Amino acid sequence: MINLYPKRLSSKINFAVLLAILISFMATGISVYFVAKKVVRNRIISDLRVQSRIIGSNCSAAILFDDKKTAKDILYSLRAIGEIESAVLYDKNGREFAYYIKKGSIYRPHYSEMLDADNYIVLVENIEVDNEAVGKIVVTTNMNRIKTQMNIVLFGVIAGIFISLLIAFAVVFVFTKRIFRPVRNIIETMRKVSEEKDYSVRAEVLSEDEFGNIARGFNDMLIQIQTRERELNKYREHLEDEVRKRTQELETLNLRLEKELSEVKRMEGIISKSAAEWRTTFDSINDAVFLLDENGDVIRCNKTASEITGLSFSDIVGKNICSVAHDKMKDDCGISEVMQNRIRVAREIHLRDKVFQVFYDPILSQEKLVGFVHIMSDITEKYNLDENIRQVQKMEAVGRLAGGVAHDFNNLLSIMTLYTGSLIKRLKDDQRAQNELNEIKKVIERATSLSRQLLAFSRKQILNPEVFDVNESLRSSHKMLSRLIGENIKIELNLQEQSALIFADKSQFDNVIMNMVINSRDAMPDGGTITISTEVRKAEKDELVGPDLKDKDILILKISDNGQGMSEEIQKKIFEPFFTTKPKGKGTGLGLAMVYGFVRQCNGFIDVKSKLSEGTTFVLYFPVAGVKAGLRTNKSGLIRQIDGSKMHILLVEDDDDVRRSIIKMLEDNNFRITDTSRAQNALSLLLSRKERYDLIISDIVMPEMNGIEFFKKVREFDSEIPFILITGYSDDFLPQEDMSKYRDNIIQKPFNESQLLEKIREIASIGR
Amino acid sequence: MGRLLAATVLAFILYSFSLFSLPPTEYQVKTALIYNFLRFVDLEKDSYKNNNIVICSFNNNALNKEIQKLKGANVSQYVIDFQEIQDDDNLEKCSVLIIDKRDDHSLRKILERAYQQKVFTISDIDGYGEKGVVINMFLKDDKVKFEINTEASAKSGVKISSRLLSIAKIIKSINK
Repeated sequence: MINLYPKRLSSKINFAVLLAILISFMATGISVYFVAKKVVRNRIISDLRVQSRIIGSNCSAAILFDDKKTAKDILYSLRAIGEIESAVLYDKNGREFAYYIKKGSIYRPHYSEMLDADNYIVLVENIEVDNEAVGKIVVTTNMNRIKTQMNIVLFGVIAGIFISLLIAFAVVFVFTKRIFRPVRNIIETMRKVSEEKDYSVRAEVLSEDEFGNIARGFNDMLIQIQTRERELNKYREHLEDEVRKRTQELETLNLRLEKELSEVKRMEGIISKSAAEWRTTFDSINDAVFLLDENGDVIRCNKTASEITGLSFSDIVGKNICSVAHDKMKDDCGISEVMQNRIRVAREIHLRDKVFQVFYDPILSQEKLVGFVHIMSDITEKYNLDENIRQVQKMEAVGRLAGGVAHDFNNLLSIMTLYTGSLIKRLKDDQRAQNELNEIKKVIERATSLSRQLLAFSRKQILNPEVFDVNESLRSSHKMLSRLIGENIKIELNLQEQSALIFADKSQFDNVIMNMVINSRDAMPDGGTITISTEVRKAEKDELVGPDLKDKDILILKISDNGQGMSEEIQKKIFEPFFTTKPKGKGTGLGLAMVYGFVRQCNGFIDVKSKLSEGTTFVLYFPVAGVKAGLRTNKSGLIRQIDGSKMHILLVEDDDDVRRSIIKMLEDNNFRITDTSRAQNALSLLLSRKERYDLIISDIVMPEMNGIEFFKKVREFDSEIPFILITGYSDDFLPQEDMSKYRDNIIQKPFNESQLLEKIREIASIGR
Repeated sequence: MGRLLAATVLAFILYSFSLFSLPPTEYQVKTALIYNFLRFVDLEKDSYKNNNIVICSFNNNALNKEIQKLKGANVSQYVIDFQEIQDDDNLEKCSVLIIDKRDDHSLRKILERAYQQKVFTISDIDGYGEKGVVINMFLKDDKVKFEINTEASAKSGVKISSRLLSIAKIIKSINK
């Protein structure tokens, strides 16, 4: 907003005077205007009245002689006066006699009706003849003439005020300039004194009035100030010297203080940063760390400590460590041992389903125990893993032992089988000998079965894997299993709808299921329900499924019973061979060992969950097979007599007894045999080409050159000769790729005569 | 007072006519006109006889009966008087002379005498205006109109108000 109020005194006076003049002129102007308006109005009314009288008088004769036409003609002479709106003549009886109305105007017929006085003036005049009223004339006039004249008056008033103001302004300006000249002179002197500090200047005395006196007084004052200024300057210079000295001293002191303050701030920063770092580090430790006082009461702890104990910091601090972290009474958690020995104490504790490694470290200050650091590391996972590894290692060791035993045992059984068979054939007329030999044969078969189970456990059995749907297999064997376990036990299948494909030996898988179901049955002497369920899904992270199944699609096969359950001790040993809880003679202790071996050989994993009196669940994990490959058809097991008279077989077997038993059996079937105990010799025979061989039968496990290597060498120069490999088990040198490659060429010990002949017939006819 | 009386009489006459729904007679109208003529004319000073306006009419005039009713009425400061006269009577006593129908010779003689005596002449005979009567009344469209011979008025020393002149038919004498 613009401030129009002047700042200077002369301008203020000018402004005030001009404002006063303006107000008075305006008041005068307004008065003049209204007086003029009145005068003009009265004059115009007076003029009109005179004109009305003249017209009325002129019409008097016309009224008296009833000459309306003449009266009207006279009235129409009023046309010359523009502001007259109408004129009406009335006779002395008040009857309208004649009238005139301006074109476009209103008609006022009777004088008794008055018009709006603001816009019209109505004049009523008597018409007299010889002082006798003969009628009336009513003249109505508008205000145009008054307005026009008043506009002229208004213009005149405004112009007058404006011109008067200009003159007044000029006069006031000249006068104030003259009046204020001495004042300006004093002000200029004051400005010099205040801005330039020049006390030697003096104000000019320009008049003898009040301003002249002020100028003189001001000059006297300046003289006094000048004198005092000189004295003050002296003092000031002295004081400035003093201040300068003190300032220098203070600056030196200030510099020193600033340095010290900066150092203090730096140290504070380091301390604050260290504290924050320490706190962050402390809270970032994944182990629970407690700082204890000399009595074992918690002074401080980190975030993990709060999480592990499930308590807030305020609930932990001040409490004894034994009650906070060990659920034990005071001094009953190893702390007294540290107090006594003042050395680190480490312990492993089991607390609320978890395993912790606990350390107590004494804090010593000048040989005095002032507190402890108590660290708790959650080692549950490691502990479980170690347990698992220990168990696996144990099972591996037992497996290797069992496998080795079974291998040698198979060799022996092979000899016994072959010779027994030979004897049965030879003594077919001796009934007693037949009976005894058949008993021996049964025992050999049982031993063979045991040996196979041992091999299965040690994962060294020869498998015939194929891709098949577990759900389908379970559905088809459901009826058979139900019959097997009796009527008081029910088998429920809870199978996932989608197909559950695995790559495994199907017959072995069926054996496994049967074994498990029989085990469950035995666990429920009073009857119950066996539930078999399947589920295909991806192995979850941290799921205990064994290293082969991590992050893979897995089939989970659960076999649950609501039988008597097992203790934890039994659960640990359940898969060990020859471990059984069954009465003597009722179980071999190899059933679950075989299951374990089979699952592991399929790169799977087995787990057991059991609670006494509640039941047991076996969980079998298998890797899911991607594609359902062509199912292998079981080959005919028909034993047909083969005439070997035309076949020449090269037999390579390092075990003399086995070699002899095979030769005996083959010669009994008219085969011609050339045998050797070393593969190298056999190669020489073949390369010499002195004889023609129709078939090679070779053991796999041999010193110097094993059967597979021998087979590969033969194939280098002879790609057609049929080849049978004999093995006690699938060993380490028979990798999975070879297994699939030579599976059809392999016959597993111990075998009997018919099995060997069937293999010869199969291989020779295909010509592998 | 006289004027008030005359006005009252006239008003009464007109009122009576209106009351009985009878239109005023020709004589009555003419009498009223004569009265009004007197209000717009100024006679020679000597024509006013003892502050009276003496209306003279020949004794056989049908208007006399009505004119007689004006007797005593006022015109300005003058009072109206009425006298019936004979043809050979002196016109000295007359301010106004009502001329009836007569032969031209007689008319001329009377008018000569009237001019000499400065008597204001009024008639209601067609053509008399042009023959030298100052104001002659005539009927037109069933209305009584009048004509003024300005020469005759000058001869008679009668000053006629412009207001009257403005509504009258102005004529001049026809000299035969």
